[in-house]
Amino acid sequence: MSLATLIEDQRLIICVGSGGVGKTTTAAALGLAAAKKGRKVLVLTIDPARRLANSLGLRQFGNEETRIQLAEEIDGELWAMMLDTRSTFDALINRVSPDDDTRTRILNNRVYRHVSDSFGGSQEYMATEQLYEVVISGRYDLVILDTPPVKNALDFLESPGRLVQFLDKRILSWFLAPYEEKRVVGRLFRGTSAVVFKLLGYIFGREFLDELAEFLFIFRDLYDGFRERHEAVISLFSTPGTTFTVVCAPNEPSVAVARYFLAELAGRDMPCAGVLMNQMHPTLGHEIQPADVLTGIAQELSSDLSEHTATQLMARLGANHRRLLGLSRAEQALARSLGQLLGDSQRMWQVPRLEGEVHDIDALGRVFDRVRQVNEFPPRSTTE
Amino acid sequence: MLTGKGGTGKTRVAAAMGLASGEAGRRVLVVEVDAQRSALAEAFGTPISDTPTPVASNVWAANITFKPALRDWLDRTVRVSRIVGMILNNPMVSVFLDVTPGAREIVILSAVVGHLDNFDQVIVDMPASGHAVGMLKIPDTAHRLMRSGPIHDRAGEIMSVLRGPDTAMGIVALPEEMVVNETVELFENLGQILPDLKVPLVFLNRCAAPTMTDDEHKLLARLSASSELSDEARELLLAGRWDGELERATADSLGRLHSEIGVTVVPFPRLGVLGGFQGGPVKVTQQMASALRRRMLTEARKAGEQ
Repeated sequence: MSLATLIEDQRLIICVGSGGVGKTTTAAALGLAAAKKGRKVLVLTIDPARRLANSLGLRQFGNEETRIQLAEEIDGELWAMMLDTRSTFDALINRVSPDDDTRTRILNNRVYRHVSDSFGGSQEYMATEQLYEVVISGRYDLVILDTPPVKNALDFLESPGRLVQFLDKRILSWFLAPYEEKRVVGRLFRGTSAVVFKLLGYIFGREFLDELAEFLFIFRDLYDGFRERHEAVISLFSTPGTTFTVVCAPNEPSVAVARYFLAELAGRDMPCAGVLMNQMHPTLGHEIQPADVLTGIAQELSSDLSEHTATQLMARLGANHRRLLGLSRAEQALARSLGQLLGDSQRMWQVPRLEGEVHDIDALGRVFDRVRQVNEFPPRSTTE
Repeated sequence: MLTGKGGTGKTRVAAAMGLASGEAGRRVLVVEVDAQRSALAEAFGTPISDTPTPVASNVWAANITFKPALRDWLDRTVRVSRIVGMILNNPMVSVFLDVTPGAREIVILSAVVGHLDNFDQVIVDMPASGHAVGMLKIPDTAHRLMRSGPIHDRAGEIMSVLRGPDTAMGIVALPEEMVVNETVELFENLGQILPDLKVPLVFLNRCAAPTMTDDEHKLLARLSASSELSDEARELLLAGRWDGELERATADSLGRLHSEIGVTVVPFPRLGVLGGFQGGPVKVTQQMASALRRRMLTEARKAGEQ
């Protein structure tokens, strides 16, 4: 798949990778590139730190889809949105509740309130929910998802499963059995389960279990709704038009994470376009002596500056360049090692590092200006 | 505990701290929490597991994951091994614990805190910023939500450790504008959720000391603006501007961290001509540990003189 295909033909792109590799910037840059092709794009970030706003030059944007101001000559539209767990959860309850009474009871349940906004994992539960909602709404030609760093990104893939598992009827009926029996015949059930249940009560505290039971009694009826949702999300991931893209930087820890992601995605049969390697330092590939190429002009331009400025700068540039060259060679070796893992249809795009930080639309538009698609990764030669 | 934006080198700082502290004679355990792929193993150059493995003199490392932490937790709270086995082997309970939001985090934090009994110091490589904040909120939530029982009690104990005089959080950052923004934001968030948790240090990785003179900056700018440069000349100048940019960004970041949150900043220089690749990951950990050790010795000497 070429970068053009990725930008012009896909309907859902999920960017995964470790932190600090420019994933958010990449998501936004892909979005902008697609908008320039006339598409209506939403960039969705579920990262708790508000990075996307930063890279789009926006101070703050919340759970609402917010349109990013683009130059007038751009036909498409770029929208951005942060995931807010609590309000997404509430919206979900509103939608799946059969009646007002059920809805009010859930929204006021203490366990629900804690689960929906403070317990770990809810964020990932809700990310898929939100993702599904915006993709299915048909409001956008392309949705780009920026996921949090590695561990949580995998939770994100598993999250619909975890939520639905929680509401699985077998587990619910096991857990709720003592409460059911209490209601019906006024006595607790017997056997191993009763002992284990007592232990759970001991571990979690009976009050918590009681409140949890109330929460689950209400939720039980919603199980089918959740399951359908979960299946829909899973099928969304394997629909043509959806692709994962691994984003990484040319350093060892990030490449190790990228390697892990490629294997995980392949293992889960998830479509993956390939690897986008950011922050590359391209060079001509050989040592350059500043004295040979710059001394004349440097002397000329430094006539009004303090003595030795030109000499000092030449020495510095020589050192700067040797460092750059070493860095570039190490980066190429890493890129090659990762490239050899790519499948036939997968590509690697090397994105050169830009001067200055990317935090406005103009800089974002330049991210892919000098992108290089690498298709061949010859095995490492023995002389290296 | 150490946290910070992803990609800033938290794990490396945690590992280096462990080595420096071990060299100072303390028995240290460095842990990562619930890592699916151990980054500490790479930093130490040796495989690690859920139980402390020696990685250097006085230094152990472990990756605290849910299942072993759960056993540890049950042993600690239930105490009767037959019952612990019954709970662990009951498929319903295991699913219940696996999916109850927050259970995972509280069990893992409990295991981390438990190691304080066996070591002089435990260094925790926490998840990245927002996720670390999420994790640290959980003991308080659990303490309030479960009004009795061992989780309630244990959550209370974990909170007193977090708030205690012997616990501190360090933030790892890079000299980049966005990273400094997130560091400031994180510092404020931590202050809101755990006002008693001390956050005395920011570690600034990959710094370049500002050595370039104003005249050199001027000349570099003039050269860059001149037309008719060869590709080779352009590349030299780009290399110069990138390094100049890093020097400036280092100075800006140090200034902002000082004025906006006022913590002590520990800078680590960018390492080696290859920007950190030379000698592999373990060598980098060792170099950073030496830098920390020198700083510790200097501080100790200064304290002695006063």
